[in-house]
Amino acid sequence: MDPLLDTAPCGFLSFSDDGSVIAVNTTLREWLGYASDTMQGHSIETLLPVGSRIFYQTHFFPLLKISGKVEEVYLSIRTADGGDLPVLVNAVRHERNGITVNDCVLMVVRQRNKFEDEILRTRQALSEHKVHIETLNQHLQQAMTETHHRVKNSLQVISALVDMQIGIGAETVPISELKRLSQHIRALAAIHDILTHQTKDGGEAEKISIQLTLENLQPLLQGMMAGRGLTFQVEDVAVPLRQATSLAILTNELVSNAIKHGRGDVGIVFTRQENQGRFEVWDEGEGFPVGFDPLLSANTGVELVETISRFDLQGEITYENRDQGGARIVVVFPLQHPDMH
Amino acid sequence: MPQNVLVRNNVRVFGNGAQPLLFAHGFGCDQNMWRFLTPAFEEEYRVVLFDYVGAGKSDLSCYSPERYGSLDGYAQDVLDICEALNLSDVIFVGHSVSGVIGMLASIRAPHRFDRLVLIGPSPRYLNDLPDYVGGFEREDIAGLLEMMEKNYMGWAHYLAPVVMGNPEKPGMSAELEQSFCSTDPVIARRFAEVTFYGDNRSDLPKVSAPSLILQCAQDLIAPVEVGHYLHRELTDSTLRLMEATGHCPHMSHPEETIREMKAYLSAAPRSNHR
Repeated sequence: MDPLLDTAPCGFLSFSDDGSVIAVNTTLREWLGYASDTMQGHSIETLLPVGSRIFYQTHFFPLLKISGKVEEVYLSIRTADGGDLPVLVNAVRHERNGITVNDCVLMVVRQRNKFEDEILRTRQALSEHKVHIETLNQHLQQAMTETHHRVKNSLQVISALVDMQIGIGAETVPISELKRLSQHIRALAAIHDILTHQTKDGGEAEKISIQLTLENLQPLLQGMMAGRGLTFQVEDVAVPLRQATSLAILTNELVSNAIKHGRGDVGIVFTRQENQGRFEVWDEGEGFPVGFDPLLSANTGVELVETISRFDLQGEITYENRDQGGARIVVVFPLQHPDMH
Repeated sequence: MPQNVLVRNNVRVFGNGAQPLLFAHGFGCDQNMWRFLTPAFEEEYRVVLFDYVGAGKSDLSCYSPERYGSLDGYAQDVLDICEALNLSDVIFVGHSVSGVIGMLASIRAPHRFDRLVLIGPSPRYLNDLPDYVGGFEREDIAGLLEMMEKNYMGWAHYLAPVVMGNPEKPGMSAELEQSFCSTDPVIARRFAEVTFYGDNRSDLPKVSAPSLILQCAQDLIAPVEVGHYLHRELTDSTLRLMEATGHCPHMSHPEETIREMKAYLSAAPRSNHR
């Protein structure tokens, strides 16, 4: 071998098409830790760790054979003591002394290799982040759609309340009715408050706790009580948002009726009986007069209560007097689960 | 549609014979790898060459990770080409993983195939000890994937979107034409995984087409044990142990490969029963 090539600061290796090593320069032999003249005749594949071997057979050799050369191919080479040496290889095919040989020049790329490993790791991490961000973005878009949907529902409830008022056909609206309306709007706002917290904590916004809904209404209701007692007896059940909204308006309406027509304390009771919810508002007043017919009492409040109970909640409503005195309105309705839709 | 398949898979047809000789390249390459064999066959056969979708000059925009997430998708490429060219009585020549791809295609459309020539085939590259020696452990394949990743490094970033099905792929084909054995790194990686983590041993008894297994000496990718295993499991198979070493005898030892193929194809007269 040319003495310049033999000790040049790069590895040199020549192999035949059947893969046997024909020549190796001293530089490469020393890198790999072989004694002199022990490498000739070795199969080139024995110098490669398994991953590099497959790459050699599936990429390196076919490319070299077809194009006559390869450039800047990264390979890992096995040293005599079993270590791995990362190298960049350039190779060309030549006819020499009547046979075809493949001449390779190798450069060790330890430092560059570390750097490239780092880049690959970073790229891997980046692509994972990207997937994560895309998922988050999807959730966000979904949440936005849902939010708009909910706001629209609430606005529809408000417009239905206003329409009922218009339906009466009077030229003017009593202040008391506007107060009621404002009370309902605030009840809806309270529900949106709960939703804000719920989604902030990463929880689902499809269902909402009845207890939480009524608790959030409490300050609103308390404000109407004018010193009278308000008691809660509420079993906690998670219900679909629509039912919670209906219950909030219903509570508002029934409590304000109890304040207006009844006396003493007012109570709110909610219990669950298997798949049914039982919602009750009581007071300690005179109770309903004999022969009370809700359908005959032309009153927007009662009409609203009827609509919500029978249509929105798909429930049954009863107006009765309590044994211990006072009125009681009970709505029994099927508890819906969002996943049953 | 047939025209599309021919473009999609960069199909080339030539030769003076009638019986189709369909060459299917293996993992890592494209149809160029057959150039040392085809001159010996074009007088007598109708030579058909192609690139799998994702390889060579195929239409990368036709790649879908679902379809090509198993070798069945690649077998479908073979069947699509057979249908587009209305091929029957096909002698299928497959290198490495294409051996299995050809078997899968022949199981699904036996009427199209006359015989299979399998060069360095393997139905499973991973060891399943103690009963099966495939040659590799999972970490070896991880080493290959890393090697591929390092070598695809320079251009990995801008090709990545193609896998998503970028319809326009501006200027890309021109870029790729120069780089034989190169393809979109994401596609290549998936092909490597599908190839080297796959297990098609249970398909072998379903193959009815006669086959020639060309087994190289010292083939580290498809070791001789695998050749014997295939010979046992494939009905009507002929095993030839070659002097050629390595995994690509059609490139490293084309003369011997041609000799073996011709000996097999002329010894067993062309079957007309299909």
